[in-house]
Amino acid sequence: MAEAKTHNNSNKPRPRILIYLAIQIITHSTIVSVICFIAGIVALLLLPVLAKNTYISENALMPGSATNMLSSHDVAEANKLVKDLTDLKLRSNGSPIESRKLIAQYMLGLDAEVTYHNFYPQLNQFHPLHFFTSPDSSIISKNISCASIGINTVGIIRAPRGDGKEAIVLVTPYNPKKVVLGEALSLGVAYSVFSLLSRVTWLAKDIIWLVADSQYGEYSSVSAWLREYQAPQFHRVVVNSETCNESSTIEGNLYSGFRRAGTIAAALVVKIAEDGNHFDDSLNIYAEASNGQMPNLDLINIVNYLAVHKQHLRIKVSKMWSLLGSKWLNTLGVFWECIGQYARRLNPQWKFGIPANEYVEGTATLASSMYYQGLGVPTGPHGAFRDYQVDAITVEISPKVSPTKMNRHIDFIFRGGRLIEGVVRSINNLLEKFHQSFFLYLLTSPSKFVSVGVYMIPFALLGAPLPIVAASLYMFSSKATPQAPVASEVDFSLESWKWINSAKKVFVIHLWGVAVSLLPYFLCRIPGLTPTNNLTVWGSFAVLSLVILFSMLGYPTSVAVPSEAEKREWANLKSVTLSAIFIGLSLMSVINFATAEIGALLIVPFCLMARPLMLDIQARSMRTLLLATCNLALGFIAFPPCAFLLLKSAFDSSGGYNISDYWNWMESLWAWNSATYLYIGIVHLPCWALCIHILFHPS
Amino acid sequence: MTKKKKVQWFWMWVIGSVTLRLILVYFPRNLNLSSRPEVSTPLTSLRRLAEGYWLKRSSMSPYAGSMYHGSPLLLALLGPLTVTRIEGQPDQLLCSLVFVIADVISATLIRAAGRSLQAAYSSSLKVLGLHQLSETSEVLPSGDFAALVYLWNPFTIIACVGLSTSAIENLVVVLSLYGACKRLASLAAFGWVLATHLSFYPSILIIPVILLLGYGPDAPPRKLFQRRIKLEVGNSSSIGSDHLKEELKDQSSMLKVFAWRLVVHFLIWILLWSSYVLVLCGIYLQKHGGLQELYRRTYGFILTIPDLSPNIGVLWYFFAEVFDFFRSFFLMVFHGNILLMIMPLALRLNHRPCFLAFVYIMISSLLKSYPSVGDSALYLGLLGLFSYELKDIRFSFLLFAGYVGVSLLSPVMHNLWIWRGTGNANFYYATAIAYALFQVALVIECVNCMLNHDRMVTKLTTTKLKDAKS
Amino acid sequence: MALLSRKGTLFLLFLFSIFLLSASASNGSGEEEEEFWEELLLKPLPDRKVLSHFHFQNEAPLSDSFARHHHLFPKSIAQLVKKFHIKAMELSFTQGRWNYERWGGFDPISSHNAKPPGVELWAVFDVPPHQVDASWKDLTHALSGLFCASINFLESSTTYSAPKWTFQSALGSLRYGTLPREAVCTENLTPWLKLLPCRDKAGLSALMDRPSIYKSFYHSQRLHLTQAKTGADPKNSRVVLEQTLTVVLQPNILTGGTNYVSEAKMQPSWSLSSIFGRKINGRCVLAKSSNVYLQVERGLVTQLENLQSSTATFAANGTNLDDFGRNVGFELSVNPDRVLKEVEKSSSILYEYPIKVHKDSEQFDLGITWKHPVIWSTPHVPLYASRFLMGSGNERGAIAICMKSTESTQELVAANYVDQRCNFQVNVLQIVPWYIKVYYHTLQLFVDEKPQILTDFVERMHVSPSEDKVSPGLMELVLKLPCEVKSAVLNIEFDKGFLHIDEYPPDANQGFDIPSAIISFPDFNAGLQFSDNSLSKTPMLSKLQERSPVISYTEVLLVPLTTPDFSMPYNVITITCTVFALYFGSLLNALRRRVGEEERRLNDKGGKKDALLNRVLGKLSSKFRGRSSVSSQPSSSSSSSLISPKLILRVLLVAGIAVAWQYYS
Repeated sequence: MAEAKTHNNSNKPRPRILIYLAIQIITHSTIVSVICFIAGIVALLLLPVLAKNTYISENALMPGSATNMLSSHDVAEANKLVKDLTDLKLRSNGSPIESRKLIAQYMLGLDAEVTYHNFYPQLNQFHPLHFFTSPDSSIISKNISCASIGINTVGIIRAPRGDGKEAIVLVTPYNPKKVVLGEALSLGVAYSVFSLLSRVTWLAKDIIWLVADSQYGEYSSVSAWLREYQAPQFHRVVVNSETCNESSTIEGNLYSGFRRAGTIAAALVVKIAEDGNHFDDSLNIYAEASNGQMPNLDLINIVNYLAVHKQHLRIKVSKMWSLLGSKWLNTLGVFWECIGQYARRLNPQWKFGIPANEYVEGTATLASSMYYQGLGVPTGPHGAFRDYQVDAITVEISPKVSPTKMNRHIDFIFRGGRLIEGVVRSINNLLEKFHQSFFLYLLTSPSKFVSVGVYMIPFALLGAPLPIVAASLYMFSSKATPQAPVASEVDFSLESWKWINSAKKVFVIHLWGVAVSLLPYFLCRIPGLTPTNNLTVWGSFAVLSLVILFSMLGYPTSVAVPSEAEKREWANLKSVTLSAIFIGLSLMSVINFATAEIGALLIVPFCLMARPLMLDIQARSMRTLLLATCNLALGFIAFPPCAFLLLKSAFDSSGGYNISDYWNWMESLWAWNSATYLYIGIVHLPCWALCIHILFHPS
Repeated sequence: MTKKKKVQWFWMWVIGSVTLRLILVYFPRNLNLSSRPEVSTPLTSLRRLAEGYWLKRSSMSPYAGSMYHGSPLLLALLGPLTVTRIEGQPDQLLCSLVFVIADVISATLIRAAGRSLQAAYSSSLKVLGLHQLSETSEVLPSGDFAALVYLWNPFTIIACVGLSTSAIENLVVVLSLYGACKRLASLAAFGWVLATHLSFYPSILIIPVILLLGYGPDAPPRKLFQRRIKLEVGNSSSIGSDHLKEELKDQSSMLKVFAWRLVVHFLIWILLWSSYVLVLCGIYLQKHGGLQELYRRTYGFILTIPDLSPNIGVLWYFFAEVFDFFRSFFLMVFHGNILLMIMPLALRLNHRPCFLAFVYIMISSLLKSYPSVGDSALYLGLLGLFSYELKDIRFSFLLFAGYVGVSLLSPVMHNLWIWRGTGNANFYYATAIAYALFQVALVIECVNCMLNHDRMVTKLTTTKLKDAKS
Repeated sequence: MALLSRKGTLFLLFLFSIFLLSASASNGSGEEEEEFWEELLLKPLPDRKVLSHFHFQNEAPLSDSFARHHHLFPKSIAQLVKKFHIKAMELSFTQGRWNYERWGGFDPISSHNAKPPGVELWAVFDVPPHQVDASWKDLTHALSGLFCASINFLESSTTYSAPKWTFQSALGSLRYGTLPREAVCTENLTPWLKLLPCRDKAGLSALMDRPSIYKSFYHSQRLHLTQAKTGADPKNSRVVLEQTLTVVLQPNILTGGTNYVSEAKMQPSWSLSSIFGRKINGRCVLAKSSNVYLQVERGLVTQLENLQSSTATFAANGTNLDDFGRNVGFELSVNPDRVLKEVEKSSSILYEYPIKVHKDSEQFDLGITWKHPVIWSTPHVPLYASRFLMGSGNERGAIAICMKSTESTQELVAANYVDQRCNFQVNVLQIVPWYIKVYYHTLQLFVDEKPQILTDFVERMHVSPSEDKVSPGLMELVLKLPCEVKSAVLNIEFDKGFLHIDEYPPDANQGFDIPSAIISFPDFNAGLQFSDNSLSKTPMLSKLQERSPVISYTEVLLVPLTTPDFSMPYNVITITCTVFALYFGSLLNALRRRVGEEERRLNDKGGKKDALLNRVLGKLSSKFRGRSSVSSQPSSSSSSSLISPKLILRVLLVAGIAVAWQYYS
C-alpha cells in the first residue's frame, strides 16, 4: 500500500511539508513504530544515567542547622523504658494490659496527654473504585468480640506557645502480645525524642506519638487511628463495648476520649530491624503508598541528609538484588560509560554517563522502585497517611549486630533519637505544607531521582506507535471498500461509521474483562478453597465466558471464502483495539505510572505485531513464518499469568514456581485496592484477548 | 410493519435504561457522583438547592449566602422533595425519580419531534423529485435513534443519577423544540420561557424557534423549490392543461411562505408566559428583595463568573488566573463569542431551523460559564436527529475516542489534584482544554457535513432540472 | 550603685511631682477625680505552673470636651471613647493556648482572660446602626496605630461580624473580629504599658520582665473599656479602663519526666523573684491601692484539709490555713495581712498583701515552698469543648464541635437531682470565613452518640450565611442539653472555595484559619463569693465576685485549600484564547465557503485529488490528536479541518522543545 500511496503523491502537486511529513509517517508506520519502540526501550535503559541528584528545595526546612539537644538523660530514661518492657515480658510473660499501662505511665511522666484508642481490626475488603473515592469512615462488621479489639496508645505533646493548628506524628508499631526487642528499641528511640520534645521551647507544632498496636498488622491499626482522627463516626454502633474498654481509662486525665491535634503536617514511622546486617548501622527508607503514590521528595531528602551527614548511617532503598549480578547490565553500564567518556572528550561540559557499577546499582534500585510503585501496595504503615494527603515515610534502622546481642543500647538509641529529632525539628520549621519538591518521581539511589518530566519520555515513545499504526490500519481498511457512487440507493452504506461493529466487539470484550475482574470478589466468599482451586475456577469461568461471547459475536470461522470486507475487518478491529489500549495505557500512566510502563512493555509489541496467522501461513515465506512464530511468542508472554511467572522466575532467585502464586498475588492486589488489578482486568486482559482474536482471524 | 417492530424494541430499551438508572440510584453512595465537578456545577447541584430551600424555610432569602443560584420555581418544585426522607431508601430518592421521569419524557419528545422532522424532510425531498433520497432518508429511524442516544448516553445517566437539575433544563429545551416542530406556538413559547428562566443560555433559541414556526421543519435550500416551480410553470405553460395547473398550485403552496400569524401567536404567548413566570417568582421572593434580587443572583451569577470552582469548562481556571483589571473585558469577549456566531449561522442555515437550534445549543454548552456533562448529553442526543444528514461525518471515530478518553481522564486528573494532592490544577485544566477542542471539532464537522449534504442535494436537483430541461 | 541611687532619687522626684499634680487635681470638684488601682493575683496550678494575673484599673469621668487634661487616664483612650462613641470594647493579644483541662475553665479568671490565640477585638458603639460599620473601621485603624499590630486587617467586611445574642448579649450594636494568625510580641506590650500612669518603672508593672513573660506558656494581654453610668444623666458617666495581663509561667523550666513512678509530684517552690527575676520595690504611688493576692483554689484547699485531717499534729489546732501559711501543704515566706475565704465550706482562699510605699530597705518578694506533694484538679468547664475538621482532600469537609461532660456537670446533676428534667443552656457561636462554604442544612446533632432531631435540643438558631468575598458566615445556636448528658456533637459540612490568585496570601500552602468558636454557659456563673463583702472592694475582687457566665473558646482550625499554579496566568490566557480563536475562525470558515465552491463542485468531475487530500488530512489531524484515524469522505473540501491539525502540531512542537530544554538545562 505504501508504494501506491507514494505513486498517488507523485502525480499530484506536492502538498505542504507538514502534510507531507504526516503522509510519510503514516505510510511508513511499521518502520516508525519499530524505531519508536526501540527508542523507548533505550530511553528506559538510559533512565539511571539521566537521574539527577536530589536537593532540598524547601528553604524553610534547614535540616541539621540546629545543634542536637537530645541529652543523655533522655536516652537513659528511654533505655529504662526498654529494660522495663523486656523485664515485663520476662516477668508476666507479656500481658498486653501491663505493657500498655507501662507505656502510658511513661508518657504521663512527660506531661503528655495520653489516651487509648480502641479499634476493631477490619480485614481490607475489595473496593474496586477506592482510588476515586475519598476515604470514608467504614462500617464495623457486626461479628466482633472484645477478644479482637486492638488498642493504640496515643500521647500528645502540646507545643508550649504554638496555636495547635498543625501536628507531627511519630508512629512506632508495637505488638504487646509478643514483645520483641526491636520493637522495644523503637519505642525507646521514640520515647527519647518525645521526652526531649516535652521540654523544648522551640516547638511550633504539636507532637503525636502513636504506639500502634500491631497484633493485627501495622497498617490496619494505623489506618484505624487515622480514620478515627479524620472521619470519625459519631453514632457508635453498640457492640458489646462495655466489657471491652475496661482498660481504656487512664488516671490523671480529664476524660479518656479520643484526642486530636490540628492538621497533620507529616508522619514518621520508626522501626528497628530485628536481625543485624553485618556491614554497618544502616537505614532503610520505605516510601511507596497505595497506587504508587510517593511522599514529597523533600521528606526523603531531609532524612537522607541527616542520616548521612549527621549520624553517618548508610542509607538504603530497596533494590532488585537479582539484577546486581547480571552480566548484560554490567556490559551495558560499561557501554554507557564509554559513551560518556567519549562525550566528555568531545566537550568537557557534557556530564553524561556514570560508572558501570553505579549504573547497575541504579538500575536495580530503579527496577525495584518501579516494581513497588507498580504493585500499588503500600510498603508499610506510612501508606495509610497518604490517603489523607499526609506525607509519611517508614524509617527502619537496622543495626550492625542484632539488638538481642547488642550490648550497648544507649548509643544506638542516641543515634536513632538524634536522627528523629533532626527530622522532627526541620519539619517543625516548616511554615507551609510540603509542596515545593516533587511528588511524581522514581528513585535510582537514596540521593538520585528521576522526575516525571524525564520518565514520561520512554513511555511516550512506547505509546506513540499505537495511534500511528491504528491510523494506517484504519486507512487500509477504509481504502479497500470500493467508493459507492453518491445518490444511488446503495448510498446508505454508513461509510464513516464502519468502526461501530469493531467498537461494539471491543466494548463487549471489555465488559467481559470487568466481569472477570469482579469474579474473585465472589470467589473469596466461598470458604475453604485453596488458591489453586480458586485459580482454576476463575480461569475456567473466564475461558468459558469468552468462548460464549465469541460465539455470540459471530466468530467468523465457518466462512469458506471471506469477502473483501471481511478480509479487511480484522484491520478495522485491530485499529479500534489499538486506540482502546492507547486510552487505557495513558489513563493508567496518570494513575500509576510504573504499572503503565511495565504494561506497555508487555502488551505494546504484541498489539503492534498481531496480524492473522492465516495471512502468514498462506504466504509461505521465511519472513512471514518468523512473524507468525514471534507473534505466538509475544502472545504467550503478554498473557498475565505467564508474564507474572516469567518475571518472578527472572527476578527472585528462590525457585518454586507455583501457579497458585499468581492467585495469591492477585488476591493481595485487590485486597489492597490496587489500581493495578483493575488495569490487568479491564485493560490488559481484554486487549490481549482481542489481539488473540485477531491472531486467529480467518482471512 | 418494520416500524412496529422498531417501536417494540424501542420501549424495551427505554425500560432498560430506566432500570439501569434505578440500579445506579441504589448503588452505594461512596462513588458520590452528586459531588463530582463534572456533574454538579453551582447552577445545577441539588445540594445547593437544598441549602437554598433550607434558608427559605428558615425565613431567609434563598439566595442569601451565595449558595443557590437557580430559579425559585425549581426551588418550589424540588425543595420539598429534598427534605422528605423515606426509611430504608437512599435519601434524595424522590428527586432522582423526578430526574429519571424528566429524562424519559424528554426522550419521548425527542422521538416525536424526530419523526415529524423525518416525515417532513422526506416529503420535501419528494417534492424536489429526489425519490431515492427520500426513501433512503427513511431507512434510519432517526427519532428513535436520537431518543435512545439521549437515554443511553453515559453523560445523561451520570447527570441524572448525580442529581443535577440539568435534566429538567434539558427537558424544557426539548419541549420548546418539540412544540415548534409540531407548530404549537403556546407550547414552544412555554418551553422557551422556562428554559430561558432556568439557565438563561437557551434564550438564543428564539431565532431557530421562530424560523421553525415560520418556515416549518428542516428542508433543502429554498431556492431549489423556486427553481423547480419555475421549471414546472414553464413546462405547464408550454403544454397548458388545467389539472396540471391545479397541481402546480399546491406545489407552489409547498414552497413555503413565512407563516407570520403563527410567529405573532408565539410572541404573544411568550409575553403571557413570561409575565406569568415573573409574577410567580415575584410572589415567591416577595419578602426577599423581589425580582431584581432574582436577576442579580441568577443571571448576574451566570454572566459575571464569580464562582471559580473547577468544572469541565475552561473558564474557571481562566478567571482564577486572569488579572483583575482584564476580567470584565474577557467576560465581554467570551459572552460576545456566543452572540457573534448567531447571525452567520442563522443566515446560512435558515432553511434548517432545527439543526440551527442544535448548533446553538452546542455552542452555548461549549462557551457557557458553568458547563456540565448534562449540556453535552442534550446536544449529543439531538445529534441523533440528524443521523441521516450527518451520516457521512468525518473523524467520527476520532471524536468518539476523544470523548471517551477525555471523560475517563478528567476524573482521574481531578482525583490526582484534589484528593491525592500530588497533581496540580494544570492537570485538570489540560483535560478541560482537550474536551473543549473535541467539542469544537464536533460542531465544525457537523456544520461542514450539513452544508455538504445541502450541496449534494442541490447538485442532484440541478442535474435533474438540467435533464428535465433538455 | 551610686548611679542607681541617683536614678532612684530622680525617679522619686518625678513621682512626687506627679503625686502633687494628682493631689491638686483631686481636690478639684468631687466627681472629677480619676482613680487607678493595681493588683496582682498569683495562683499555683495543678501541673506545676503558676498563674500570675496583673490587673490595672483606671477610671475617669467622661467629659464632653476633647481638650480635657487627664492626670492618670490615658488621653488616647479617652479620645477613642469620645470620637467613636464606644460603649464597651475589649482588645486582647494572646499567645499560646489556655489549657482548659489543666488550668481550669470555671473560675472567673479563666472565663474572662482565656482568649483565643492572636488578636480578638469586639466593640459596642452607641451610634445609629448605619454608622456602626464606619466607626468600627475607624476604630480598627486607630487601635492598630496605637498598639503596633495589624488590627486594621479587621477593617474589611469579610473579617468581622455582628453576633446577635450568644456573645456579650444585650449590649447593643456589637462588632466582633479576630486575627488568629497575629503574632504577639513585646512591641505590643510596650504601648500597652504606656497607658499605665507609671509605666513599668514602679509598682507591680515593674515585675514585667520581658524575657520571663514571653517565655511563658500562655500570655494574654487584654484591654477592656466600659462606660459606667453612675447617674441618670450621661454627664457623670465614667470611663472604666481595665488592663489585664495573664501569664502562665513555669517556675523551673527543667522538669524532665524524671521519676514517673512517684505518682504525686512535688510542687516546685517558687517566689516572685524566681519566676519574674525581679522583686517588687514599692507601689506605684499614683495607685489608689496596690495589692498582691495569692489564691489557693477549691480543689487544693480540700486536698490540704484532707492532708491535715490525716496528719495528727495539725489536727490539734482546728482553724488552719488562715493562720498564715503554717499548714501542712506549703509555707509562705511573707505573712498576709488578710485572708479572704469563700462563703461555703472548702472553698478557695485569698491571701492579700498590700504593697507599701517604696523603701530602699526591703523589697517585697512573696515566696511559697511546698512541703508535701499535693495533687488536685481545678474546676472545669461544664462541657469540655473541642473542635476539629473531618474528611480529607481539598474539595469538601466538615466541622465538628464535640462537647464532653466533665465533673462539674455531674455536680450540677447532683445539685438539682430533685426534679428529673433538668436542662442547662449552651450557647455556641461559630464564625467561618466565606471561602468555607458551609451547608447549614447539613447541621447534625448527636447527643450521647445518637443522632437527634435538631428541634428537640436547639432552642434558638440564628444563621447569617456567608456572602462570597463580602461577609463571613455566622452561626449562633442556643442548645438546651439535659444535665446528665455525656457528650454532644455538632457536625456541619462545607465545600472549600477556590480563590483568585490575588486572594491567596504569600504563604498560600499553609492553609487558611477558621477562628475559634465560642461556647458559653449562661446557666453556670463563674464567681467567688467572699465572706466579708463589707471590706474595701478593690476592682479585681469585685471582678472575681461578679456573677458572669462561663465562656470557653475552642481551637483555631487550619483548612488547607488547593492552590492554582501561580506561575501560569500568561499560559492560561494564551491557551484558552487559542482554543476559542480556533473555534471562531474555523466555524466562520466553514460557513463562508459558498458560491465558488459549489460552481467548482458542479463542473469539475475530478474530485479525486482533493479526495485523496482529504483522506490524508483526516488521518493527519487524527494522528495529531493522538487517537486512531477515521475514513474521510471525498465529498467536501477541507480547509476547515486544516486549522486544527496545524495548531496542534505547533503545540506539540513547542511541547517537544520545552521537554528538550528542561532536560538539557
